[in-house]
Amino acid sequence: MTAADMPEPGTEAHRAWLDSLTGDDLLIIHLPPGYQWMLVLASLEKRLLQGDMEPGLRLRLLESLNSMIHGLITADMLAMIQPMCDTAYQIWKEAKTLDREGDQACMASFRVITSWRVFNHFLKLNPSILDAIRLEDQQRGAAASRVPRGQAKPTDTYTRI
Amino acid sequence: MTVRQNKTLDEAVRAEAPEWGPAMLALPTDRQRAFVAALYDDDAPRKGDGLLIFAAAAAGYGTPTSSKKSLSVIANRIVHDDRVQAAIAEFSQRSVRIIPPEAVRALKDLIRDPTHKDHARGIAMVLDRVDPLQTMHTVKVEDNRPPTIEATQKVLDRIDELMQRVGLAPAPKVVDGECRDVTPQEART
Repeated sequence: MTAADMPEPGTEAHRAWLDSLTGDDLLIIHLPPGYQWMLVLASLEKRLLQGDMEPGLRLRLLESLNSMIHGLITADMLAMIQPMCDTAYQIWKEAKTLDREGDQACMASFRVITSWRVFNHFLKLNPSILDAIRLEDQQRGAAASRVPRGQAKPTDTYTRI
Repeated sequence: MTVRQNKTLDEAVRAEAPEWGPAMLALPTDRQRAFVAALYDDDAPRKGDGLLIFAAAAAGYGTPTSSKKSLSVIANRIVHDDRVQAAIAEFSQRSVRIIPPEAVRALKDLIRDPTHKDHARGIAMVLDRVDPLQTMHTVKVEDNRPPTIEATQKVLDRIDELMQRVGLAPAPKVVDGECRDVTPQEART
């Protein structure tokens, strides 16, 4: 995986880079950033659930996890995601420092966490997320890696960092 | 009008208004003061209907046989005097200050008359002043500016540092090459 080597989107180098992607990289780049965020969030919530907390908060976290099962994310995928490790949690907290106080949308941290480079960090630290993405690919039956090159490319509408 | 002319208006003015303001006192004659006071007389006609002629006659200008035309000329000369105009401005201010009691009485009459077309308006006016409607505005200021490029880069660098600490990120690439000092001229070329 060439995590930090993503060229500027919209450039010729970026198109060439997209064409060069294979295997897991292709799966990752085809996964919409909203789902990437949710997979990371699932690992975070599982980490939080390991600690002591009031039953009300625990219920909220469990309900949050349950609500993630929609679209591409299935219960099986969610079940295989392991809790976030300390380093990943630190990365999460670093990214969250970019959000302004009271910012419900968390767009700043969203852009960082779902960026190619940082999301790949999460995958390295928590390979279970990549396993979940692979499972999603199997479940969908139409693996992005099996799509002939040039026919299915991620759009550039979302500017990745 | 002839009655006023006959009862020595200068004296009447002095008696009726014992305390003039500085502008009125600055007028050179009592007749000019009487002229200014006559402009505000309850019996005075409106401007354009002979107000200045009335004031000039009431102040004792001209003669009993003076025509309206000649009184008009006299009155115009007086009213265009800077000192008279200052006195008029001063008198107007003082007159306005004594209007409120009359206004309050009129408002009371209006409120007491339920058949008046502005009855409700009068009530609302009073209530607005006695117990004004209070409106509270809560202004929420949202700052939606994205973080600066520098701040984002700082966070990304910190994330890379965390990854390097656990041995999962490649070290920054070292640019290899030979270095030598160049003169400014060489640098330009």
